[in-house]
Amino acid sequence: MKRNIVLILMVLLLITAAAGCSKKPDSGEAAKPVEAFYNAIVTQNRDKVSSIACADWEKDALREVDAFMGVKSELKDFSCSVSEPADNEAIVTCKGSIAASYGTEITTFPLDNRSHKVIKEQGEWHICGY
Amino acid sequence: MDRHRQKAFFLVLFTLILLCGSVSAQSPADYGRTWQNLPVLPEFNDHARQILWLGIKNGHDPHAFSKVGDCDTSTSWYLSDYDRDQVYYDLGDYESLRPVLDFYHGSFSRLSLAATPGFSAASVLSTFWLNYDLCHYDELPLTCEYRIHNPLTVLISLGTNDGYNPPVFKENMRQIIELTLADNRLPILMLKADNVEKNYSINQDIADLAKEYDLPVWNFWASIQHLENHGLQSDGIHLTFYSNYFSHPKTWETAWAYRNLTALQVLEKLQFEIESILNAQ
Repeated sequence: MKRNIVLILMVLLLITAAAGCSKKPDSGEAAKPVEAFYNAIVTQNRDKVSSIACADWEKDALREVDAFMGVKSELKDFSCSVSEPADNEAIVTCKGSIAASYGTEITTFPLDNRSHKVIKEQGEWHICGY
Repeated sequence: MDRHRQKAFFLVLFTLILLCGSVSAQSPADYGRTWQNLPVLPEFNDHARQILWLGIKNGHDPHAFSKVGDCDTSTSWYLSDYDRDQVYYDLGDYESLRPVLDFYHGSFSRLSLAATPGFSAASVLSTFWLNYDLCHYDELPLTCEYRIHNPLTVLISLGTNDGYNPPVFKENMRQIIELTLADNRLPILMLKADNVEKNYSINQDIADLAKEYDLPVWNFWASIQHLENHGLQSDGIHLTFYSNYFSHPKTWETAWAYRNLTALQVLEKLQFEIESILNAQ
């Protein structure tokens, strides 16, 4: 009986260890292109987009950057993290907002209501829509 | 061939090569000579009438127009007074425009969901700039405005904020035009007053797109060239303003009077076309 319990415990330990070793996306890495995307928006850096957006979404990403060209914007209390990790794609959510100003008028764009899809292309994480 | 003939032949050949070269090397600025000469008020041709007819058939409101643009469009200075009490404006010598105010009543002061200070052409197509209180998540500011206001016609006045990034303007404007046409609404493209981009390439793009899609152009730029500083404030961007009292001579020293007058005149011509279609039904 005692032997069986030890055996079961060892099996459970192995399963737990195996689960811990299975390949999961590095949370920080997968969130980086999303953070870079919002930084590209507020710094009006179109050149950055090709390296952070997936090929299918690059045109849309550029349009979003262009959409803020007429205003001055900054990120407020901003951070992103992976909420649904997987091997080659993940969902990233962010906190904070973009504050866009035109003259004295400030428009705030909350970022916490968007789920950002990120995928791995050629070994690198890219933002691929929301 | 004798020597003289040979010489003449090569001279003609050389001249032809030079001519061909100069045509193919024509720069956008050379083409730009044409848009300045477009009339202030557009003619509505059969293509425009066809779009209007289709729009009416599809249930769009013939009495509604939408404004699409930036700060010079979202401002209450742009047409809004004509939905207000007559203490805010008078039509002076243009009292014949009164029926236009009745025909489009409600659209003049409407706060368009596709007109916001700082808007570039891309902003109109960006989900970020969507009013989530009124719009669906899968809409764009442009399509949301169309669904809610259901205009038959659209006055598009964009380009100033694209002056800082002109190469991307044309494709975004093209997208706006295509979305509008796909919805059977008639876009009227305004040529802007400023030259933020320094070479008028944006007005050229607008004129080129209008030609490509066979659309009416409202050459507002041409209507204010006689004004001091071409109707622009010292920033070279915003229009000069006095009031909407057309009977007051000082009004005609500022650009906003011309912006509103020529807009009303465009709408008057449009009203004529729309009424012709409605009467024929």
